[in-house]
Amino acid sequence: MSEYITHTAVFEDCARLAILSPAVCAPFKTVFKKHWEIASLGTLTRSGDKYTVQLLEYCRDRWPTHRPGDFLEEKLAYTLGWRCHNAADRHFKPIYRELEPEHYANEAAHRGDPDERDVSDVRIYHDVIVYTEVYDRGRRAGSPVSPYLVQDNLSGHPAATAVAVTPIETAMGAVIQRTLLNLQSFTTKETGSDAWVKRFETRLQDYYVDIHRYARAVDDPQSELLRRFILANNFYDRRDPIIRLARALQADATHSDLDLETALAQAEKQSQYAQTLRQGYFYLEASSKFFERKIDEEELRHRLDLGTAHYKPLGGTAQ
Amino acid sequence: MNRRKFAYLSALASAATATVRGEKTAAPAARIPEAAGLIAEMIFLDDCVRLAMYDTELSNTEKTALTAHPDFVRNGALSPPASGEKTGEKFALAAGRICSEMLNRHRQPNSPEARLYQDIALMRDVSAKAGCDPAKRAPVADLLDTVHVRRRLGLHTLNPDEDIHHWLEGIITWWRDERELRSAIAAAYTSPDAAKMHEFVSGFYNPSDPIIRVARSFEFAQVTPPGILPSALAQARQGSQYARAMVEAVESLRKLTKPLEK
Repeated sequence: MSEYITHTAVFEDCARLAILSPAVCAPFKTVFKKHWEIASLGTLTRSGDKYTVQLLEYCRDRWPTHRPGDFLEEKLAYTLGWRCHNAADRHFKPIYRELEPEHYANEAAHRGDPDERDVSDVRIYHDVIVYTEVYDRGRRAGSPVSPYLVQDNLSGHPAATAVAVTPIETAMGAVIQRTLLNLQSFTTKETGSDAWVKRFETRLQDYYVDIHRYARAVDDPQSELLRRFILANNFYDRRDPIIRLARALQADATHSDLDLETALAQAEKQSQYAQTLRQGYFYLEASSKFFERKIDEEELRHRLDLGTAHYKPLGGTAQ
Repeated sequence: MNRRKFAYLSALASAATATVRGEKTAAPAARIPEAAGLIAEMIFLDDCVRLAMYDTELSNTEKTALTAHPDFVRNGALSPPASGEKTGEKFALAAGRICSEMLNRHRQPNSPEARLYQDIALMRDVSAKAGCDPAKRAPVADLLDTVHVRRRLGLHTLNPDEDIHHWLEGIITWWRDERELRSAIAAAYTSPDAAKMHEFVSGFYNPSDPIIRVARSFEFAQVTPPGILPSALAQARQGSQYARAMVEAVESLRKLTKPLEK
């Protein structure tokens, strides 16, 4: 997905803030530590609003009797990562439309999000800045993205002389598609060929992001696009206390000069990335309170913004 | 192996081995996932499409249907038998279904470990053809992990199924399987066990088979003189399992109901 890097970083930063926070319950911290990669997968998943409450309730009710192998810890981890996806989506989708309206022009007249067909430049530029600021272009210890990530054919990778990257990438990509499709129940339940093809066309995970656009944005960023998409709306400011705290936690460095509560309060009016961390953290904190039965479902829905639109399509109605 | 069995075995195997281990510090694969063998299958499907380009018994409409809908070809194995209007998409699905069937009919042995080595053999041959040295010691695991991230970056967001608990258990299992498979491939890629290569690959795949050379050359834009396909098909009948599966796939494609002209 476009915003892959941004969503992954938002998840990782929010999870570290949650682990630090005394307001987040122990089971959440346990599943983050044990199932980090599973939770990270959740932040790359759509339709989170639809399932969050039922999954939190399911995990909460079974937590006292859960055991290894019953998938409960993993489901909770996935659900929490999923909330971080929704925080990033809610914050950034309106911003994409504000910053690059030409890409989203007349979207209300068409079905669905224009980014489903063709990714906007603003999404790619946001990812590139996060790739640089959060992951030092893959050089930071523990980075989930490689320094070679956006190179043509991974040409600089030391194993690229042993493995032909382009054809193997095509084959591996096809395997990913096939195995993900195999998880969709229609593939076995639907027996009519016309209906099957219809479902296939909507459920197949398409490849729609050209990695080479990332390469161009990293190697030769356009000043005008950096001005419009990054500077003009203060996308990322490494001085923001919440971002400084996130970077300190990422590096396992001391952060005694930074207080979580104060940083969260200040983030409300700081960079867009800081605001997203704040939103993601509060989603996790609210989920934790529900998990500990300190708030009820109605209050949880309110705090998670469930039932509110992610964005308003340009020239149309809310989605 | 049919698709239901694949899904069942995959979920069962992972459920049995699921532990509370830390996801970030997983040990190298001790178990080879059922998904082993799919890399070879995807290369085979693309090879069948390459051969089809030479086949004078297929119309240009049929050839275009195959090249215009590669995702349909690669996922045809999951589809039910087609009925109704014969669109290019349905032709591609049926072609993929029948080609996958031919490969799996010929593939011997067919254990996860055998399929893993068959994947490695195909990857090594394709890499050698591209000018790489598959025997060169290199951090292959890191490269495969990076490729996996790149491919996931290129995909749409993951799309959950209506049966959310079943899907979540499936996606968690999928993630572990993918990681373990990459790890198993990387562990053997540069210096695969010679005895296992002999046992699992020698009868399965022979890069010298003329029909394989036709497909592999086409992959790298080296075009074989027209008219060579019939002799390559004839020789393939005495060739490796992969070559024999290609012959049957080509013959089956000729018998498929033709897509409508547009």
